[in-house]
Amino acid sequence: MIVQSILGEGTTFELYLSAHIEKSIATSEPFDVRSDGDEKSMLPELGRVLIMDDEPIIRRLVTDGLTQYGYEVMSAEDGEEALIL
Amino acid sequence: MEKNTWAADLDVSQITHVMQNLILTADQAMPGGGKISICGANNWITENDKAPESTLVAGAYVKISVENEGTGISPDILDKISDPYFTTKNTGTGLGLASTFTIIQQHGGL
Repeated sequence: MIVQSILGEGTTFELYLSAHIEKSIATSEPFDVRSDGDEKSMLPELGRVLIMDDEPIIRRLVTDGLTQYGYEVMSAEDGEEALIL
Repeated sequence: MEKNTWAADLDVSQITHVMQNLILTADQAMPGGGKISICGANNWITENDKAPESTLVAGAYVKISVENEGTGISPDILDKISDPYFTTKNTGTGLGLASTFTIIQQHGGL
């Protein structure tokens, strides 16, 4: 990973992942989870999920992801808050 | 993301961890708010492109960049950010970016 940073202006993290060219040519359409029927059918039946994490951005990422799949999502910052819910 | 970005060989849960860490780091670097840009692009790396000390094998790579408009990292600590237990945050563990660097190396990437 290459890190470039300028004080007061910001930071860029660059990472390089080995590409799988044959597979890329076989599937020329961009990968889209939502159009992938197999992936969705592997998920259990829809229900309600409680997420507990102290980082607000992680709570939001997981909430948004599961909501897209149709789950009802509740989130809590810690155990105490989770118990109230 | 470029439309024809190549597929990459990766462990989904480990790379999810990497992306979460980089986004979390970017978020925490911008206490006053700001923009986080994430881009993906195809990259051919030849022997000539490599830094002499690089362990990267020449070939095809998908380059992911995560850019923030945060406070920046001072040059004197830039080479320490991959060290385990190095942190500038009061409540940080110093393991977030360390694990990120390790996962990418284990993927044969950079």
